[in-house]
Amino acid sequence: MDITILTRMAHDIEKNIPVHDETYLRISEHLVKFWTPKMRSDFYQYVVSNRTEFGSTMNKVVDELRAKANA
Amino acid sequence: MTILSDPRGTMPMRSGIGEPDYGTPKSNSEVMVSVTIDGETHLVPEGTSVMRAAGESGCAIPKLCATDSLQPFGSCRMCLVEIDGRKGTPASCTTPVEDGMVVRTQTTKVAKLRKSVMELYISDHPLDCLTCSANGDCELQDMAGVAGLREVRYGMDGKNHLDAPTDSSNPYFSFDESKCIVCNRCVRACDEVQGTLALTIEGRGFNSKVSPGGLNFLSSECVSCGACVQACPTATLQEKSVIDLGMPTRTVQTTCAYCGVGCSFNAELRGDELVRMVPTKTGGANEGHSCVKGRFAWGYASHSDRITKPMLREKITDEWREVSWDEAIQFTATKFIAIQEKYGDNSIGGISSSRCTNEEIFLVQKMVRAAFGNNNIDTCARVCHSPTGYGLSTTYGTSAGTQDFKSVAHSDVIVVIGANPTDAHPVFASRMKRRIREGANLIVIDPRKIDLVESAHISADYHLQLQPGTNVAVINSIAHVIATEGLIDEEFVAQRCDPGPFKRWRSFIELPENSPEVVEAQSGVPAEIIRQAARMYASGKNAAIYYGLGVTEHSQGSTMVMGMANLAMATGNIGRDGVGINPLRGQNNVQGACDMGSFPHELSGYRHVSDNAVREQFEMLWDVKLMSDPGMRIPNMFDNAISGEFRGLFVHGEDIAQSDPNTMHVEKSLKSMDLVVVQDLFLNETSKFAHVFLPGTSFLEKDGTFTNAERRINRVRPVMAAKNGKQEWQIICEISQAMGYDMHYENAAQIMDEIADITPTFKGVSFAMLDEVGSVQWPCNDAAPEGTPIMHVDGFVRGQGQFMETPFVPTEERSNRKFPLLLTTGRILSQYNVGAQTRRTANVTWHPEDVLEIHESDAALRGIVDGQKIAVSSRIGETILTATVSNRVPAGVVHTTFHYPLSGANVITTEFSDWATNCPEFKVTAVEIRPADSSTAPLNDLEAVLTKA
Repeated sequence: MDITILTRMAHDIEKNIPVHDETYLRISEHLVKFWTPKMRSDFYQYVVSNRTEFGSTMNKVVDELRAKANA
Repeated sequence: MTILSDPRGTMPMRSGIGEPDYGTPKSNSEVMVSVTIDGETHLVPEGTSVMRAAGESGCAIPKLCATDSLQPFGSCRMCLVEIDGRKGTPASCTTPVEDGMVVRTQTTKVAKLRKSVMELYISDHPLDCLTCSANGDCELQDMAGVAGLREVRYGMDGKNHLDAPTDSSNPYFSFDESKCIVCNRCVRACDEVQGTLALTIEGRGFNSKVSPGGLNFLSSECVSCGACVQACPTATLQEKSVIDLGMPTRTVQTTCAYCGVGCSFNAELRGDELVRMVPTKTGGANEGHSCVKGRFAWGYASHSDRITKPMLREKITDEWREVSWDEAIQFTATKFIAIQEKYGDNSIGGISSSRCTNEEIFLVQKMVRAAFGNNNIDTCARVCHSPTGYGLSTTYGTSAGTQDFKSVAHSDVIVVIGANPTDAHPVFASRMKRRIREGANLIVIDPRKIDLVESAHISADYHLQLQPGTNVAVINSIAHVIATEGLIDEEFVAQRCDPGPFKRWRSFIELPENSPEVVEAQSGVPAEIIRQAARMYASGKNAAIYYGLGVTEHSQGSTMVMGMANLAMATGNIGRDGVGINPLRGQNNVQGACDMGSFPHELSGYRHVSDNAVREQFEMLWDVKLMSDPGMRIPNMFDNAISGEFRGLFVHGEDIAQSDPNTMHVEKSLKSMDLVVVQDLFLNETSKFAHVFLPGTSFLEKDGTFTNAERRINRVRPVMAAKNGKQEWQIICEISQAMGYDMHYENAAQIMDEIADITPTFKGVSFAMLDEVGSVQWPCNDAAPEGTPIMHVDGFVRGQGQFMETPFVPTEERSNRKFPLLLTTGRILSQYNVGAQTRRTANVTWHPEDVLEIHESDAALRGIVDGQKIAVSSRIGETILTATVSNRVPAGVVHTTFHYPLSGANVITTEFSDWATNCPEFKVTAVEIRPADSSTAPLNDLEAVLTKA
């Protein structure tokens, strides 16, 4: 799947989930609940190489989900 | 003494085979009164008419102007009775029973009066009973017999109406004025039942006649709902199919396959030929009413375009080749298996259809999960109400509307947001309009001036005519007013809602950025109108929200659903009659498609595939290992097809090439696949890219259930034999078996038994149960054996209601210098979705092509006049439509429908979608228009349009 589509989807999620103490959990749940494993792994890979394109919460989500997937 | 709660009497009938007509509506009073009729004493609810009490007791009183779907009128004088202690002979229809009343219905005096009245009627009526189309189904004929009429003393040669003309302008029914007895039933049906008020009685005395506003029926305001035809006691208003084919002789009760109202109909047949569809009075959703689609537009089922034999081709450029079912099934299975062997288990998937039955949908998702071995199943609800599922699940705990349709009769304030019920859900709209005529307040939030804003005896108190794409800003500003002006129902919130999220929401919603004054600049809605509408919603005793695709088909569709849910919780408008959050589902079985587990992340009953306990239940029942990760959504399938990862698709009853956004992108993805299997009634846009075509069954051939927008599970019964020789669930079983997964059922009832077995909210449902009670609303289980008309009564499904913050994020699709107008799309009354059904009926009379509504100032600016061909272009593509200059849309906004493939409305819609569900943003596309010229591709050459774009 085209990575630009995935990143657009991720940016949409970032913009629409308000920033507060549960944001991390909501974004994380959303990716796990609705994205296929392939979409997630492609996206994680992209984020790792393009950190500045996303906010700190999305980076944290990706790091933790990636670690979980690799565990 | 008999208590007449179970009427045993039957009366002369008109409204469908087997349905009694008691003359006046049922009283809902719980107070019982005693009445003695012809020597027998009965208890009836207070408010019951003498006519109805007599009818229910088995003493049928003659009548002509009375029918139990209408208020009593008292004009025909056939129902006269004698009542002890009363002077004269009152009309039994307009006389309510009083406690202790003694009534005599069959005296010499009233018999003589009735006979005299009948003589007058017959003296001005054609005596052609034997050749009349209503012979055997005519109340006038029946009453002449009941009155014992043997002669007409006045003769037949006096002044009469026997030469009055017949109006045959309507394609479905005729109006033979010579047979009219001016009973007013048609006029009252149009007023009371439909609420269009298109008919009137013109003239006085002998010159009185029914008139569609001085015009013929076709050119009048008549919406062809059929209520007048239903009400007519003679052959004056008669279905043309009855005139052509003769009176039906048997009936099968089933459910309409058009919109999400899910009307019950009696399919009336003569032999094996369907003669007419008559709305069922006992139908829970429609209670005897219908619209032009359900009542009349069923001819597509027998249209010559129907494909009834399976077809194959190796390449999409080859000609179709008819094959046997065995060959088609084997080809399909072998190809799917080969693709998976080469590209992996995840390389194929399926799309289920909301036009199919619960049983068929359940099996399609079962086939994908069990036989395909992945979760790549999605449903066309993706492109309409998936945000409803997300939003209502998050806030309330389940993906469904909160009320039954009847609830609207208790609403004091009705808010309609992004919906156009009079066109898209007309039978429910009639209920809504009735309540508004009774005095309920109405708030419409819509970019267009829909009919509800201003029509006969209906006027919205507030029309918030917002810019497309600003729903969330407006709903937030309404909530802001409620929160900052002390209008929150603190007691409800404290008792029923999670306090943490509420506190956070309150802080958010009170921010100045959500104030009407700020939102006015974003939405174009005056701040004071927002404030007044908010106060009206919050202070009404019972306030209900009804919404449609104008809410969901946005980049913030899910946010908007949560915003409305917040509003209902904040004001305590949840959990009783007259309130709630009510999605008006687009297709007949959108609710069912979602319930049955056809989203890639959920099994039936909205349980996530990652839930080990749930998955184990399915694995044990299906004897197969299931995947625990979500599969692809429809847009993911398209994108992955283009990138080469997704190679095979089973499309069940859905024309994705016409209905999904960005047609070029969809077509490119379909062309990229190795195998596209389409199961449908007709060759459609998607089948142009298919390798296998499996003929499907129409709703008249199906055996199963549909679930409507109020969660009502209704039986769909086969009216005629399947034209393709197989039920669709059988075909799905055969593909699964050919792929190595043993799926077998004896009948559709067994499938429902499995659904009930594995789905907690369906636990109590079975065909036998539905056949006994008619219909039931889920949840239907041990906790609610009779179903659940209203949800969240004592608590939310998720426990406490969860407020969600709903920040307004403007769509990236904005008007600019190149594309200065915003296009929004919708439906029209006579057509349905991609038009595959309605385009193959006489409904094309009203809507032969999609048109573009454009405001007069925008039209003038571009030199465009009404009826002119115009090119509509977006950054995605270009198409051609005919302009309709109209002030229904504000300046800067244009609107079209998507019922015709040639107009290709989705050629220009974009890839933007809801952030949470990927429901396409159909409702906002920046466009420019110009008069079509020689450089513009012709209307009938979509390929050229596509190429040029």
